[in-house]
Amino acid sequence: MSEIVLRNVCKEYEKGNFAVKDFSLDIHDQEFIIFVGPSGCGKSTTLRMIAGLEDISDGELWIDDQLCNYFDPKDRGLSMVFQNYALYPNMTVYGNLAFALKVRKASKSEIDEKVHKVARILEIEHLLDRKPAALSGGQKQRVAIGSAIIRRPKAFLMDEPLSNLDAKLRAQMRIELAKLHKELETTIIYVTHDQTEAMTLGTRIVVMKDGVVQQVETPIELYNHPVNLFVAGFIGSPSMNFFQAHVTEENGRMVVFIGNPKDGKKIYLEGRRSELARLRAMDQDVTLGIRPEDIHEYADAAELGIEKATVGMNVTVTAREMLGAEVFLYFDEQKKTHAVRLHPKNQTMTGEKIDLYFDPKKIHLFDQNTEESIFYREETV
Amino acid sequence: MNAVKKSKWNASPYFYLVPCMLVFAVFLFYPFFKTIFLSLFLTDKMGQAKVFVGMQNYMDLLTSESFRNSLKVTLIFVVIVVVGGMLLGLIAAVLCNKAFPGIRFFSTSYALPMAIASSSAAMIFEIMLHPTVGIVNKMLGLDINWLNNPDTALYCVAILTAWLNSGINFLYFSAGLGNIDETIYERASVDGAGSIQKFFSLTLPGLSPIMFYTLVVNIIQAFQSFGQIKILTEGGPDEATNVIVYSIYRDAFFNYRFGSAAAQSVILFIIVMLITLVMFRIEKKGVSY
Repeated sequence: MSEIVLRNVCKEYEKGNFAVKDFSLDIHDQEFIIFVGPSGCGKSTTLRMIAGLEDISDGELWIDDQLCNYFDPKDRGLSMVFQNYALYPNMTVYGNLAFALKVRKASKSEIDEKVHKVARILEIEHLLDRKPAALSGGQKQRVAIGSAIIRRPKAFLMDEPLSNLDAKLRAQMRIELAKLHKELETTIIYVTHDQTEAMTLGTRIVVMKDGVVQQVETPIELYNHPVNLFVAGFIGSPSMNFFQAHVTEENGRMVVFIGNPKDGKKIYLEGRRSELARLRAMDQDVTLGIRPEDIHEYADAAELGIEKATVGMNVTVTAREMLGAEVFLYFDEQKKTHAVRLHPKNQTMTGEKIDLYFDPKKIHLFDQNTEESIFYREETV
Repeated sequence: MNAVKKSKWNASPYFYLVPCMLVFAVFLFYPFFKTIFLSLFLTDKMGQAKVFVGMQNYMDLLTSESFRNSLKVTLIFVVIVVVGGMLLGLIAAVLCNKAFPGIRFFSTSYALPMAIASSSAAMIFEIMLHPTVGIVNKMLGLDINWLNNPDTALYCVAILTAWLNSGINFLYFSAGLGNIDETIYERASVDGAGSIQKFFSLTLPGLSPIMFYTLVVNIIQAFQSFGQIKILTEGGPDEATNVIVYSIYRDAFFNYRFGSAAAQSVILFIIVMLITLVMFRIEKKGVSY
C-alpha cells in the first residue's frame, strides 16, 4: 500500500526561473504513472524530487501520509532505475543486485536467495559473475531493473529506462515491464519522452510542458480528449493535423470552414458540439485538429454516413507510405504537410488527387488565443 | 609477391630516431653504464677510475653501519611521504569534488604545493620550525628544536615532502574522481548507502587505476627527494635524515669517494626497480576494471 501525493511542488533554480511549477498529483497504490513531455519539460526533475535527489523548492511531497520533503533518499523507501543504468562498474552483476540489501545489513543467505530469485525472474542468472562492462545494453537494463526490484520499495521510479536500447529490444522490454508491473503489484512512476511507451504502459499519463502539467488522464482519454493544442499535437503518431479554420452559422447550423470560407471546405457540427461551438467560438478563427485516422476517402465516409456533413477536400498526394496494414498519404494544405491513414487497398499514388472527408464527430477545435480545446469534456459541460 | 617478401632494408626510419637516441645516450645510457663501471673501481678526486676492486665497494656498503642506517631512514621516509602525500591529496580531492561557493579557491590552494620549489618550501618550513621564533612551537606552546633533534628531524622533513607531493596527487585524484559516473552515487543514495559506504564501495574502487599510477610515481619520487633535505638538515643530526640520495651526494662531492657513491646509486636503482616490478605484478590482481 503506497500513496504518493504531490502538492504544488515547485523547482526553482534561480529566482523566478521555474523548472517545475505547481505540480500537483495524487498517485494511487499500484498505479503505473507516466510523466511524458518534450525534453526540458521538467519530468525528470519532478521524478528526482520525488526520489530526493533534488531539493523541493516549494510545495509538499507526501508518501504514505508522511511529509517527505526533507527525508534523505534512502529514507523514502523508493527505488530508482536510471537512464544510463548507473551500474556499479567495479562490482559483478551479483554485487550490483546485492548492494541495496548489503547496505541494509541483510543476512548473507537472504541476499543470496533474493539475488538468485530476481536473476531468475529477469533471466540473467548466467551473468551473475560478470562485470557491467561485459554486458550488452539489454542485459545492463535487466540488471538495473533487478537491482531496483530486489527490495520491496513503496514505489519504483524509472527515468527513461528504455531510451538507450534499440527499437526491437525496447518493444520487448516494454512488454516485460508491463508484465513486471502486474507481478510486483507496486506503484511505478515512469518518465519518458516516447509517447508509445506512455500510451502502452501507463494507467495514467501526466503530460508536461515547460514545467507545467498540461493534462492528467488515462491514455485513451488523453488521445480522444486532449485538453489543449500542445497535448493534441504531442500524443499520437503521426501527430494530429492542424488547420486554420473559422466557426460560423449557416442556415441555423453551426459550421466550420477550413481556410478561406469562400473555398467552401466546410464541416457541419451536430448536437452538443454544435452548442459548444456556438457558445465558445461563434464567428471566431480557430485551429481545427484531426487525427490521420479520422480522415476518410469517399467510400469509407459514405459507410460512416458522414459524407453529407462534411464537404470533400480535394488534395494532391505528395508522398505515400505503405506500411502493410495501413497506408499513409501526405498532402500539403495551408503551407503545412498533413497525413491521412487509410486502408492499404487505397491505390492513390504520389501526384494523384483524392477527395478526403473529415469525420465531424472526431474533429477538435482549439481557441487561437488560449490554445484550449473548445470541446474538452463536452459531456460534462 | 616476390617484391613484397624481399622488402629491402630501409635505413631512413632509423635516421629519424637518431636525435632522440642521441639525447638518451648522452644523458641516460652513458651515465647509467658509467655509474655501474665506476662502482667497480676506486677513484681519484676527479672521479676518474683508478683501481679495479670488483665488488669490494658493494661489500663495504653492505657491512657499513652508516649505509644500513641510510636504508632504514630512507624506508621510513618513503613510507611517511607516500602514505602522507597520498592521503592528503585524496582527502583534499574528495572534499573538493562537490560544488560549493569558493571551490576554486580551495582547489587552487590544495594544488599549490606542486607549484612551489622544494627549496623555497624548505626555507619556509625552516622558519616555521625554528625553535625560538617558529610558529609551530609558538602555537603548540612547545620548546622543541625540531630539525636538530634526531627523533623529530626525519618526520619534519618527511611531512614537508608529503605536503609538497600532495599537490600533484590532488590533481591526479581530482581527475580520477571526475571519471567516476555521478549517477552511481545517486543510485547508491536511493539504494540506501551512507557517505562512508559510498566512499569505500564506489569512490575507492573507482579510483583504483589512478591510485596505482599515483602510488608508483610517489614511491619513485620519494626515493629521489633531495632538495629539502639538503637545505633543512644536510643528512643530520647524527645521520637521522641521511637518506640514500643524500648519502650518495655526500660520498661523491664531500668525501670524493665516487666509487662508493656509484655503488649506492646502483643499489638504489635496484631497490626502486624491484618495488616497481612487484607493484606491476600486484596491479594485475588488485585494480578493478
